Amino acid sequence: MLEALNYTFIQNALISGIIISIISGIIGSLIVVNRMVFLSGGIAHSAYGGIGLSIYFSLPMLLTTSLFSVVITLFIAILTYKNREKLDSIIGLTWALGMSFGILLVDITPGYHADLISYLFGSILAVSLDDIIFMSSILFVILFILICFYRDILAVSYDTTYAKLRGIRTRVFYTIILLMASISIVIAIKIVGLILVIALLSIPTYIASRFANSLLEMMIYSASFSTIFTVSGLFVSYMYDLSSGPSIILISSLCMFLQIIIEKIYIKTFK
Amino acid sequence: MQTINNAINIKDLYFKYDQDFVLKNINLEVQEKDFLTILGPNGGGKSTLIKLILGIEKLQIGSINIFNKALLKETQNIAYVPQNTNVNTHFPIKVLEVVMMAQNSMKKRFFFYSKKEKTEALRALEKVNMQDFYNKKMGELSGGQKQKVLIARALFGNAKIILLDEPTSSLDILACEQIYKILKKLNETITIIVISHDLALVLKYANKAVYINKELSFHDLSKMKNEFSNLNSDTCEIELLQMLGRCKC
Repeated sequence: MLEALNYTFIQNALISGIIISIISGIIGSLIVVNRMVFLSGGIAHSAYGGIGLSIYFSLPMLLTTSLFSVVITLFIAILTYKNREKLDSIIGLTWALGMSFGILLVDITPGYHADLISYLFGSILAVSLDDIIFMSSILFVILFILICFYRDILAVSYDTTYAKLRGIRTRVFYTIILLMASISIVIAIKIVGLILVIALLSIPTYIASRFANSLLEMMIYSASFSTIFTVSGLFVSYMYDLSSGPSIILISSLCMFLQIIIEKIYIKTFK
Repeated sequence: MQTINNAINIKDLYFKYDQDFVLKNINLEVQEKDFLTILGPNGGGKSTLIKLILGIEKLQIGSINIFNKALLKETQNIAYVPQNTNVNTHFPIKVLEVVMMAQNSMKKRFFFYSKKEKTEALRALEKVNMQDFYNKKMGELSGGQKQKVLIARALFGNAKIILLDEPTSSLDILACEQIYKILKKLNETITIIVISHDLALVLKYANKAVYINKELSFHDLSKMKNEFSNLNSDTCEIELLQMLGRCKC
């Protein structure tokens, strides 16, 4: 099995898998504690509009989809900051609008688009060096923001009203969290696909939340679990010739169920 | 003789969200070391008044001065304790982190907390008898304990005025008593303003009350001691409001 590491595409897949795992560990934690899981679903599906745009105009897929998602996210942030009760309707709108826009653009683009399926279910084995450079840059930016503004992000996530009273620019940080989430989701789509991206962001975070005592711990545990699931899912998919995205998610889900069962047994036995 | 200063001075305040005013002609003076309770029906404007004092809502008509200075210059002296139910109970955060959140984040960034911050936070926790819980997760605490931590957070910033929005909602009577005893002790040096529906309890500890239902009526409770001497937890809200209505102070 180790001979697989000699292939460049496997090396790229491993490196990108680890980068995405760290990003999804950090951003997944922020999404879960800010109760934005549905929102991230909306961003993920509306990203399909960006995929459609890149196919129609023959633009770089990752960059175009990221920019499209940033625009959609800013639209959501502006409309929902003061009216969180509108959030569900706005997400529903962007979810459907983005997908419809993407599908129509693909329809009117001449030719057959085989790689479209890869955006639904992921294509980690098709990651290029340019993609890795883009992903690394995003990871660097996220880490930089986190190191500089961790306490502000923690305060805004835990108690927005109080954070505002302490002089923190809550609207700015709300938008920053949403933007980081949107770009991370677009990158994660490359690995597990649009349909499974929410699972990658929420399953490792759920398991981490059972052990973590702080947001920082949650991010570290979540990134570690995510890395283990991604790397093992990748090897399972290579060994048995299966799709990588579903393999990663299946392993993550099995571990989550295992964790729930062990926790229940532990509580019954010792508490 | 010690002079008593105005902690909060509200003059000719009007406020509306859409067309109708939710607050009309509000005039109020809160003095240093007052223990003021804000009473009134839901939708009467209690929370709006608190939001205006905190600067969360922008002033439309009228003025609010804190220690004789315009509101915007004096927000550091005011701390806020939200309803316990407004805080995400599953959030992974330790007690000490919650208290240190009161530190103005514009000055302190990065992951790490200084030794000085930790010492100050522990001191604030001591004031509410929660120092032994500093390393616990917030989610593991009871409702009353969480509320005490939120009060400690308000104390950490050395605020001179603490505003509490229904601090004892969803707490049992023993926990309520504990919270009010702590607040009364803090009231020796700090001005306390509480929105509450626990009328029987809050009137035992407060020295002043305002009743807000769009307009405001003020009551000096110290002049009503005899009327409130027989209060107990069974006294209903209507009875108490009737007592306030009879008051000519």
